Amino acid sequence: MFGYVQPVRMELKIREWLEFKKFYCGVCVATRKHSSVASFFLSYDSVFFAILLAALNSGRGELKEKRHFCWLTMKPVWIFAGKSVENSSSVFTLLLKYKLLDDAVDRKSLFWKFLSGLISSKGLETWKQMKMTVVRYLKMLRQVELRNSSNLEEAATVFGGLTATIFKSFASDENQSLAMEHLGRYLGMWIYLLDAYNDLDEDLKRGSYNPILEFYKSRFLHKLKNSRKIVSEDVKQRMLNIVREKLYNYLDEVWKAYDLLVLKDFKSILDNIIYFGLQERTEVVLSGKKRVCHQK
Amino acid sequence: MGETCKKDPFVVLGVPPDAALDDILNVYKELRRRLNPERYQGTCLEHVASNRLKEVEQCFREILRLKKLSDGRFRGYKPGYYRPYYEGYYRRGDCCPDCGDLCTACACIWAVDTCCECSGGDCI
Repeated sequence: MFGYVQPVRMELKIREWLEFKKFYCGVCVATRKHSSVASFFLSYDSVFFAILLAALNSGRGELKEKRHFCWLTMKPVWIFAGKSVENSSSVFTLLLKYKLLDDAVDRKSLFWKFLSGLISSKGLETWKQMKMTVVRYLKMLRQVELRNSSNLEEAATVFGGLTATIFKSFASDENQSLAMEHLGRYLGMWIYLLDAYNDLDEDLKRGSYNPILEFYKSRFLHKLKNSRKIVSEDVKQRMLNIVREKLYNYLDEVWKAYDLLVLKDFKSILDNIIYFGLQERTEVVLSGKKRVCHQK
Repeated sequence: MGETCKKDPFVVLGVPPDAALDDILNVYKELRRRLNPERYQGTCLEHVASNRLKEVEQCFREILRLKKLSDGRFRGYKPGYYRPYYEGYYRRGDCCPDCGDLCTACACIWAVDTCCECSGGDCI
């Protein structure tokens, strides 16, 4: 849904890039089983989750390599199919369905509600276990948004709680469960805050809730006695260092948790995403660039 | 030696079983640096990190033990010995106890299959 958790392509070996593509196509194919609409919203985050689950379980052993014809690119592609890919696509579809429903309420649009209705829950094993959790956390998130909370971390903590629960549910032992929960929590918080900074202009125009904007209003605007109109450049300039510090604190916790995981396979791809990709994405968003120079 | 590693030690360290000892040592050092207890002090992961560090240390010891054990594989030629070197496997001590490298030298000079095992002879 967000697509911030992605690798630095230039740092990947060709073999690793091909494997990443197999995961991407695998998750896309698995998602299409639930709904062909969902595959259009496919993000790198769910691909990362599929690789992480595969690396934690039994690596390449549980994955099957299959040939598949992609109707979008009109090319045959290689895909990875297996339990981890299925689980990741299920979680992604579930989150997407409720995100679309949430957007429908936000934008007061029937179109989004119609789209969410197109995503079927048939055959989703994790659906029943996760459904209640997702609904509960999204409700909590909605309450924070309606309160216009000026706490920079409050909404991010709720979103982090949701991702922590999802990550934790796939752990196999106690130690892994704690590490996965920590990883999920701080990765979710990082995603939420980074997305809030990225959507600052759009939220300002639409008047939607944005924790950074609310924090700015409570911290800086009362000093200016509300005499000035809020300009996104001013918000970004004043908030940059505060947000950067928070984001890197979250990343530090993500790195700590990731170092505790015993990965059986795909370590190089995951290392690339966690150590290089997250940092690069942070800098790309904070600097306001669309992409980094080597991706031109 | 303490407890032994319950999991596959190579998986725990994240190295292939045929990795060179130097590479394994580098990975071990890197893991020790990352799992430094000071890094996790005061976090909810403190206990997990100490468990993981213990596990890594046990597995590293296990790998060292496995690597030292004879597996009967050809390990190249030992300097000064003109016969294949099999780690941990000798038919008669470290070398021929009587003639030492003299037989090896003779075998090299005359290119003969002598009766001494250390020069490759198999007639005993």
